[in-house]
Amino acid sequence: MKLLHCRLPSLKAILAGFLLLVIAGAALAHGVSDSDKGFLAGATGVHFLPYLYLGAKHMVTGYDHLLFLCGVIFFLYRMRDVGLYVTLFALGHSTTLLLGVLNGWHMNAYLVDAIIGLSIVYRAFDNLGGFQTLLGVQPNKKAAVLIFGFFHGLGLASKLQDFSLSQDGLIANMIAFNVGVEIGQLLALGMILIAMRYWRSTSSFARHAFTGNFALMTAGFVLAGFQFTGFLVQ
Amino acid sequence: MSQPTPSGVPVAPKKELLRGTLIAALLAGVLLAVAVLPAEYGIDPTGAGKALGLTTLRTASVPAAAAKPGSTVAAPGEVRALTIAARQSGVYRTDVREVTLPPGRGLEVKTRLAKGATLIFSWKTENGELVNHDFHGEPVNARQDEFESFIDEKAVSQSSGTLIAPFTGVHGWYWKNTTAVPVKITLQASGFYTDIFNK
Repeated sequence: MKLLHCRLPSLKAILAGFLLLVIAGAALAHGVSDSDKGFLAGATGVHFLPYLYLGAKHMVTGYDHLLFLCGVIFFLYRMRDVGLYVTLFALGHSTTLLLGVLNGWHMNAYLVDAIIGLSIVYRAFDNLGGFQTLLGVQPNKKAAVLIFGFFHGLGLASKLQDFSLSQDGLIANMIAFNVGVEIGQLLALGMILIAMRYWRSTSSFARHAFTGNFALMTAGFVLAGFQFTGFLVQ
Repeated sequence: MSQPTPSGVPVAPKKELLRGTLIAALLAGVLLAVAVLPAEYGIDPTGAGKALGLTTLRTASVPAAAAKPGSTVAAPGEVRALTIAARQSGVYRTDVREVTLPPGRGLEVKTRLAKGATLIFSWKTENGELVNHDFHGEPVNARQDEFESFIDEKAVSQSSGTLIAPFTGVHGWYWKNTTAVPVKITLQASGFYTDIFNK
């Protein structure tokens, strides 16, 4: 059976992929709930804590961001590295979130979300050493996380712009949302790290680590296909 | 199965990498074709979505979209509802009525409404006493027990509502006083009913 596991990562990948999809599927229409939208649409002036909460909620329930984070920290064993990469990701998505909302960039949400799906595929492929193995080059991992952070931020910006944001108190509310995003990310990261550490401590981690990345890849492909189809048929 | 690298992070062998990536892409394609696209967009290239009943998720949401044939105007962040607006041909009237419910007894105030005519009301008990309330209607020439309750509530001291009459008939309020003392109710009504009376 153990041999089978080694020879057939595909079987495990199928199961793990399904699991991820079930989790993802539970929140497939990942946007902002109707009641939250109602609040956002009706709100004028500064509402720091509500926007902070919405930002945190968006991140904690945002499986696309969470899957990417999973991929980023998959093989990061030292807290210093985790901190560095997560900071780069936060820097990336904060930049485009703030710029996007301030300048009223109207990106196509489907395309942005498709790219976010591909960012998961990219990171999982990179985790497997794919670029080194296939192309003989190793793209800069830090730059990749920063650049994909930009796209995640565009996604956040388009979500926040979905509800005609009042100009009154815009900057404070947007910053509150952004701070909330970072808080939510830290909360989610804590849970992911606990789970990853536990998984790494088991003897099966080495065996299943590749499978886990193939499963991440599968989920990323599904998300990208789902969003890109949405772009085509919108 | 893994080749150790200087950083201690394993690297997948080329064969496994290619196979795994291919499987991931194929699996994603299958899941998209069989489940996600049928359920989310009603795109069902294999017919499996229909067989699995997944396309019903899509069709179930169509009536909501189809319920707005002419207009798509909506407030930001809201899913728009059916447009219900109709020119009213009756005379607009406003009434205030007071009724006193004897202890343990029920009483009714009724209006005559044509189909499509609108009624708006609000009532409350004088001192906040609790009564049972049934806002209901019965069509013209109703058979025994042929009526419809629109708003049915127990132990309330006030209530408000609107109605666009679904049928021509007698529409109105029934209150039941469950206390041992008389309860006075003040009812405000307005709309396009032709008559209002105690029963």
